[in-house]
Amino acid sequence: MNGHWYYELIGATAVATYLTRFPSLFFSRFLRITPRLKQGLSYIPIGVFAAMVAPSIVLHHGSGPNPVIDWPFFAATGIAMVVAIFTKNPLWTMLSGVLAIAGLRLL
Amino acid sequence: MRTEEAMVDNGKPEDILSPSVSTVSSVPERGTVRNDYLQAIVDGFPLAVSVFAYGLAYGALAHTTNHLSLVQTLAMSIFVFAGASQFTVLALLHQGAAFGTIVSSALLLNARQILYGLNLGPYLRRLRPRVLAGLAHGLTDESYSVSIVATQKRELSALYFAGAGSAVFFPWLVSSAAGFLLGGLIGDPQKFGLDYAYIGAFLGLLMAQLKTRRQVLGALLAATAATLAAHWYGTSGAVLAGALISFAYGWMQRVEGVEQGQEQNEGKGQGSGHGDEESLIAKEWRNEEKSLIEKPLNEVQR
Repeated sequence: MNGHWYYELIGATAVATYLTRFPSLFFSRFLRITPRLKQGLSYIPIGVFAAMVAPSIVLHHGSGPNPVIDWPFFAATGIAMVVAIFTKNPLWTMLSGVLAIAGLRLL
Repeated sequence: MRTEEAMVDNGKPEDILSPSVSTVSSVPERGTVRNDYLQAIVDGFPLAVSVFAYGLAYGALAHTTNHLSLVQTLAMSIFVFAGASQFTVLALLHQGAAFGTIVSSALLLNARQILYGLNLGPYLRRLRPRVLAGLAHGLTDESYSVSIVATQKRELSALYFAGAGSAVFFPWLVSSAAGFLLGGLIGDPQKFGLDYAYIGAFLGLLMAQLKTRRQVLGALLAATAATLAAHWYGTSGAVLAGALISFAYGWMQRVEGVEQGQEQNEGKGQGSGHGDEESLIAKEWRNEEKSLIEKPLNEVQR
């Protein structure tokens, strides 16, 4: 890999990425937050977390171009959800999911 | 850093000597400097595990497919520090894509972070721009998630945000290097179920958030929108769609009172010795809300 070109690329990519971080963090302090806006904002984490989880479970890509249903993923998610409901702890939820899927794949 | 000094001044000496990390679920004592930073690392641990698994894959890919050097591999992890876009850069490099294509792809891929910034920024408005500019580099899916959940229980301090960033940055760096060095030796991380780590971690965060029927409905709407968007626009499109749908859903609901967690936080802010400034802001905020909520009621009564 050509050194100079690569580091220029990394520099430009880093600047582009930073531009998605700092300006919005900073300029949002000047927003006037009405109760309504605040309530809308309070729902964003739910949407982000759901978006992180749902597509990976539903649209699991196998070797082909089309998404396939991956049953171990579904089953592990069920187990992890039960653990989440009872423990309310993200760490146990993650560990139970990982152990469940490792176990199911061994079968 | 002013906040830091203020906290050191007010923190009891015994607190500093024996920092307890056991305040995970209870209303945390905003005592010592070290607690906030450590607390963030404890809260971020499940996500750090999933980040570590991804970093291994990134490092191995950079070495075996792209033939980058170790320094080149780590430079990207340090300066770009964004999982999804680093994988995309590798893929595009491999295909021989142009400079501009790679940079603009990274920009688009990280557009979701603009939303994270808008969401978190108001909680960090007391930080000096210089401090915020430094900490901003630590904004990722994971540090956003940990920090926004923390705002429901406590005031978000610079140190907490820094801790949330560190909980991701260092595992990412170490695992990038480990992945590079171990390369093909690791084999398939799927074998150990590590590809499930990030789903499990975010599932845990999601489930802990769902307390009302409205929230469950909001999550289902977001999940549907995200799944549809992911099919055509990939991960970033999914997150943007999910976040915007849930925002719109929340915005359309009748405004409920101040959330329980924030009420506690505000009460605590007023009671504690330090942070007069912040309790003023909290009071102001509450008054503003009251006036905005009461106004229409008065009008109706008239």
